[in-house]
Amino acid sequence: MRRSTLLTQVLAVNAVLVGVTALVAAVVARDRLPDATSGDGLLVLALTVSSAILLNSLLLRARLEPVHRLAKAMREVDLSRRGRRAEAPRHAAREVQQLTDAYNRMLERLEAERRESGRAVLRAQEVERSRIAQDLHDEVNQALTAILLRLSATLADAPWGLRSELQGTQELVAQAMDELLALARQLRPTALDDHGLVPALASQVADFGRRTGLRTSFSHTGEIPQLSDEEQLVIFRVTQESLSNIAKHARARAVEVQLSFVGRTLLRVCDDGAGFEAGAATRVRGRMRGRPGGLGLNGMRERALLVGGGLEIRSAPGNGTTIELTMGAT
Amino acid sequence: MRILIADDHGIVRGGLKLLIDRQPDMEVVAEAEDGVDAFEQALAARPDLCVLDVSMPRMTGVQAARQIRAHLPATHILALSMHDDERYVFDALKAGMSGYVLKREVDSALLNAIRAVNRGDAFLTNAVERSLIRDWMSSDSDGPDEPLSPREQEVLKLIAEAHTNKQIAEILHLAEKTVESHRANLLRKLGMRDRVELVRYAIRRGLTEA
Repeated sequence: MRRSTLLTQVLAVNAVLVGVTALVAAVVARDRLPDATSGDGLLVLALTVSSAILLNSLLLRARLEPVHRLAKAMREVDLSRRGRRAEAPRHAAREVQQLTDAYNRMLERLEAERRESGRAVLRAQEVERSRIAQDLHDEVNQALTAILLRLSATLADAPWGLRSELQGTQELVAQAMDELLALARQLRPTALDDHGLVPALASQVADFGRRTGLRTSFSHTGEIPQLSDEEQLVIFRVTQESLSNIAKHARARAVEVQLSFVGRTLLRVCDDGAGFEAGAATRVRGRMRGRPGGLGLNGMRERALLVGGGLEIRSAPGNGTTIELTMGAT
Repeated sequence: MRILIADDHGIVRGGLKLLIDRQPDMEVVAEAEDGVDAFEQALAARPDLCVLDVSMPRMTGVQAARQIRAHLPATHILALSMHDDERYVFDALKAGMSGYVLKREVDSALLNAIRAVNRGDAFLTNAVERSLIRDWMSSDSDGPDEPLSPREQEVLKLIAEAHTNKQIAEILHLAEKTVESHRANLLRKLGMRDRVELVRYAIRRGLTEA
């Protein structure tokens, strides 16, 4: 069943009231003004009543407009774009103003809670990642080291026929160790703790180039400001995710990573790859979200948001992709 | 050739012992599970050569190497490490270790490294050399500066590992007063306020694991 609007309900009540009043008045007045119930009199009465209702409707519509606007703002709210607030017009009724204020306060609380829980999740994720990295490093790789040593010891006494097989196994073990170390490094950017943001990014970009064979460049301009650990981690992870997306999807030849601290902090990752349609971004986003270990575009945006930054993605088919992370004035 | 091996992981020590003891000209005479243990065992066993893991608790392999070199100048020392980070390599070489082998290369490199180092030669594997050169070319410094004396680094590591002044004094055979003054010097030199900052610094410098 379609619900009637507040406007029609009030109008209906008013119309009934005005109509009944007019009718009663006409009946009461009939004795003294016999004309009142004649054809002309009824016409005037009907006209008066309908113009009263029309005027009423216009006035009510104007008064109810702020309520509509508030409802629209509520419908369209997007928590990933922070800081948007509903506004009541100055002439709005006090109730509308109160409703708007209450809604805005609720929005503020929601945003604050979302920010807090987002931070907590990210922090927990980083702690977990570094624990896994530590385990890979300390437990698994030490075990693999022991295996390498034992294989070497066995190799000396092994019959000739088995030697090449044993050596092949050793190579596999060494490869596994390499992969585990690389994985551990990705999980926990020790370079960030050890050497600071810029060298860590530079070596990340250089490593990426060596691994994928793409032409890479890294540059930074401006004096590095005091960035919190969280902000540095966001810059590092967004770079990491952008590069990993490029390797997987872009079919690019060259990648450029720029970090600028002039006026504000800006990270820009551009590639000359296939790009995608702006409309396809949601599809890409959907596909990337569930990828284990990855952040996806959504994840990058969330991270940016947590440190009060913004993420912009510009892309067109055949024209490469540019990802820009901006963070407050420096 | 009498060899001491030190690694905080028992399985790695087991593998090392197995491989080394199989060689007719080599014998494992002592095993240690941390740097302090390694130093003490080295003093007792006087080996020809020590194979020390770089990252160990209480005293890193690098710190133990410095102590061993100071007391047993004739003993050669080989570093064994998971890290190809050039910082560790620099530190190891500066501490008087004459070879550096990555754990992922033990199968092909360890025995050659032991023989080379025992002859008095230096030994770096290709992977280690590559990482050294790569870093040298990309950085504008000629090796990292070290603001702390070796002794201060030893104290720092033990502080970071939550030992008390008294324990530190016992481990390093120092007077407690001396440890206190080292602690004060550390804070002053690094411009730090408290233990938390020292711990963070120690982790960053690879003196202790996070």
